[in-house]
Amino acid sequence: MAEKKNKGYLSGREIRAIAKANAKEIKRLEAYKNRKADESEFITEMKNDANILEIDGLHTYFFTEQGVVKAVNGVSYEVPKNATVGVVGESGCGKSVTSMSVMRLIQGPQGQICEGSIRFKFHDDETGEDKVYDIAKMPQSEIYRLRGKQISMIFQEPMTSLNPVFTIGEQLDEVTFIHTKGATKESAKARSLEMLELVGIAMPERVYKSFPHELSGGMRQRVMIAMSLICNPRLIIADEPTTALDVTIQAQILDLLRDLKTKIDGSILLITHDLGVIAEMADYVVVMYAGRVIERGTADEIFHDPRHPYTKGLQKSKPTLDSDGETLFNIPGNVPNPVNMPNHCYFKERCHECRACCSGEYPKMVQVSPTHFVACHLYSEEVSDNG
Amino acid sequence: MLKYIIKRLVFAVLILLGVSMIIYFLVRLMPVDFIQDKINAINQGGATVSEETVNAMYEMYGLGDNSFMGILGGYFKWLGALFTFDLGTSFVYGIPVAQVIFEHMGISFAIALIATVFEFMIAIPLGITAATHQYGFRDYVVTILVMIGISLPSFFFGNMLKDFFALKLGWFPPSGLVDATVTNTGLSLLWDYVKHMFIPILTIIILSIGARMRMTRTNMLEVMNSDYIRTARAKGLRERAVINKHAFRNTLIPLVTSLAGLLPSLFSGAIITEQVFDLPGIGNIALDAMNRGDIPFIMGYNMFLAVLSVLGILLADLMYAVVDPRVKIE
Amino acid sequence: MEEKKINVAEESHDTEAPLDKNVRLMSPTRMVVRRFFRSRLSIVGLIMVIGLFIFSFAGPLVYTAWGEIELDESGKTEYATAVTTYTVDGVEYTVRQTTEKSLKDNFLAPPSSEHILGTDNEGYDIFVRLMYGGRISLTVSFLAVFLITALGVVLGGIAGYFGGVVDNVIMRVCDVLICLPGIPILLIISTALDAPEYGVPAEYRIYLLMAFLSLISWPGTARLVRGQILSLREQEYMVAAEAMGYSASRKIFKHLIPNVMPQLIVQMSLSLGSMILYEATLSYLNLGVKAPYAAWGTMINIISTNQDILQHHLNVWVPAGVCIVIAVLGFNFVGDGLRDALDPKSRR
Repeated sequence: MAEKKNKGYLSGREIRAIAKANAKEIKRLEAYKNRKADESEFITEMKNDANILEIDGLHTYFFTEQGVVKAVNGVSYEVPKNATVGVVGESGCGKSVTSMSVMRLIQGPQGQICEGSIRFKFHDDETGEDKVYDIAKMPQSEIYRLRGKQISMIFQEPMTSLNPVFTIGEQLDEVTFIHTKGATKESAKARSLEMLELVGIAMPERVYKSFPHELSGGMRQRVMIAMSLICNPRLIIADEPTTALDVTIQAQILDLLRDLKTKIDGSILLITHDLGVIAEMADYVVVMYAGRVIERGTADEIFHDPRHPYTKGLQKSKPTLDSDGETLFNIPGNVPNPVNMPNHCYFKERCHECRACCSGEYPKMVQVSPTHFVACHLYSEEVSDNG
Repeated sequence: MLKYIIKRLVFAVLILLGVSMIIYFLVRLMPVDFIQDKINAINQGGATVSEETVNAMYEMYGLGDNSFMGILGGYFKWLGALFTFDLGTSFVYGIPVAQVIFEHMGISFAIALIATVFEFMIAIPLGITAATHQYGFRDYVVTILVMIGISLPSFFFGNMLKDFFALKLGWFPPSGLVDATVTNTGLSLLWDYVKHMFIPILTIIILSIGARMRMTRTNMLEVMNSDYIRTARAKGLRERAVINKHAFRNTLIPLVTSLAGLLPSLFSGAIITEQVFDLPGIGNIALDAMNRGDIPFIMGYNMFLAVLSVLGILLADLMYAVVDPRVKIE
Repeated sequence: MEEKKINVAEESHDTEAPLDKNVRLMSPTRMVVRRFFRSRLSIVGLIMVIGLFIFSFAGPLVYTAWGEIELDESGKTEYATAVTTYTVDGVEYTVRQTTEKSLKDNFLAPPSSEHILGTDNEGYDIFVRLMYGGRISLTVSFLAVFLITALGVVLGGIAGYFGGVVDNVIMRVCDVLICLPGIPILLIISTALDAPEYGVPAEYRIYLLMAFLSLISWPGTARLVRGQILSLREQEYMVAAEAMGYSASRKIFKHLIPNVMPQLIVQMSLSLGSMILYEATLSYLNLGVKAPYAAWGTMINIISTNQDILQHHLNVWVPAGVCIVIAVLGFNFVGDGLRDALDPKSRR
């Protein structure tokens, strides 16, 4: 049979079916995104009032020709007020896609938020009250009110994230102009310079006048951070802010971020694959694997009492000074391809603590302490045994 | 900056030397007897090519001496004349080639300039719309327009427009630049020009707009996928502002640069369009000169075009440095 | 197995196999083919090109009623009416005198069952001449494109691979050639070819002209190949090939050429379109194929001397123009489709 002959490849019929299904789904979701909606449609309540961001059962899919890639497949976590939450996981685990979903910056039309809610509490300047919006349900035309003002983002690639044809000053001032009513050239400039100073740039006046290409990578990342601070956002998402920089600069940027934590009145969502960065910065840690959250808790819990085999493996694979000469631990195997995921634990094949029940349904989140959750059959048994 | 310009200029001169060499040796391909035949034909056709003119041309190109040194000597002699803007004397017109070119350049330039202005004004917005609605209906329409513009032969399309608008509908005169039967002055003369130039300009716009739209669209798509556009969106800029401010400014860089590259086409004349509508532009004159064997003129015209394209490239480089802050001039 | 489930999401899994073995991807060839055929324009382009090929090359074998330079000598009667006005004693008389003229050739015949598209001003069958015109256009363009590609690949390859002085010389030659004006230079060549000393037969003029055009048109391809090779040389796998001590030819043919191929194919199909336009323009200017031989451009050239045909005998010149448009459009559609299909970045 033809199907057998090129096993591993899709047949023409399947490809057409995928394309048709994708087109239909994309059309529906795009229409939903572009709809006109009243505030009442996306205003909501927080589960826990101490949180500033609650991601609940988020599904973000990419509709590709090869099938639907479930980049984020039911992710839930929360960011408490004035806390730093670190999201850790290997490349392609969906941590960046989750943060992009919060900003609604997923590249359409292939990428779409399909399900779930992203509840965000922000301060409405006009009424002076706190409001909760469900970002996932907001129409595209409303999202501008949050971006840059309530939530701001620092990207991974400082080298290309600044527009090469505008000066740093123009790009910084722009943020003030967008979000502050009655901003003048002088007030915008004053604010930009203040922020440049805050992020530790020695000659703010000079940097203000220069073009991005005249600055080094570390400087550009500082500028990006300054830009994200201009409107006093409630939440700053730092998407691998140090990955593209060399080690000494990385340390400087991390110092700066840690320093800022105390200076600003907001939360930081720090996304990284570097456990060291998380250990230094985060109050809470979320561990993601293949589009799902597998464990989350306070930094202390995750680092001193990791439960999930994957989290344990991650920590063992981190080089330390006292690991004298031994080979670094590595988790065997690869992350599964995100198209066409099975309904059992995704880590099963790589797990050395794998049991018979692991072939069953995907494990549910189990609470092991008031703040510590893990998605693994090892603990669901424990709980059921005890109870 | 000055050093850069000088460097580019030296480079341009070297290219011109190469181009002139090729053009010179092409003319040397023609046997002397054949040239004599051509001159006789022109003489029979009513014009008189004076003995003096012919001798001057022989002298200028060093024709007749086919030894290596003869050709080489001839080339340098010709090159020397070029530096004094002496392109020889036209057989057909009996006046210096440079003067013929200069006299007919104006009309070609006017047509090309108007066409280029319209081309950019239409192509840039359409190209941007196509890119921002990629794979949408508008993109589809623009793609087809682009393809038609690129694929239509000018002589066919020009004749179709001429047949339809001028001959069938009679809205516009079919050919020429002015109505010879009436003596117009002032505004009515201008109106007469407009009427005569309308279809040629329309032809040029439709034919050249496709490439420009495609260029805009490709650039825009590239820009829209870049990281700084994502940053602009993350700032909270509305999509329209993202496109009109951040993306547009970056898309302009190659477009403005290409404007400099258009320099040759502004002056060189659209040979085919001018031929179809019988306009006395430089392209049509050159074609006519070729048919009548006016060798000094063809040579001069080719050299003129080569100089223009070298200047165009030079200008494009400089423009690039002006428009793009990333390009540093050493 | 007619009811084979095509909804991939519901497909059952081989639970024993590792996770990524369950994933079935698209084969690379299928991906390119699929991307190509997804665009309706590429399909239209392909149909246009194939249709023209069949029309031009198989057409004359099937439709043998007329030959390329076979005059319809069935004769034609032309009526000419002369009107003369006399004034005799203040009264005006109008005399209409009609003369019947019998002519040897049946020229400018309207479309009929005998001549599908009629005859031109000489009495040649237009439909058949379209086929022969297509032959020359397609042949000449293909030859020119192959010559351009061959020159471009060899010279660009040498420049990119060896670098240094060789690279410099070849690139400066490119700079010079790019500054040469296309059609005007061909005007000179064409004049020179007229010289009886060279004795170039009319049928071969177009080949020589297009060959010359190819000789000055290769810099584009050369720059493309050189650029590709330069960027590929920086790639890790080329460094690895170097480290493993692969021979130069192996590196070129196993690694570099396959990487340049996609762009080259796209470039070729796009330049086929422009070569057809060049050929048509040359013939239109009466520089290329000359009467009595047929070429699309020549068939349109008729109207530049005869405005009556331009206005009243559309069947003489419009079909040739339509053929040119179909050919150029076809190659451009195919080229664009290939570009999108082969570009790994253009994902939809």
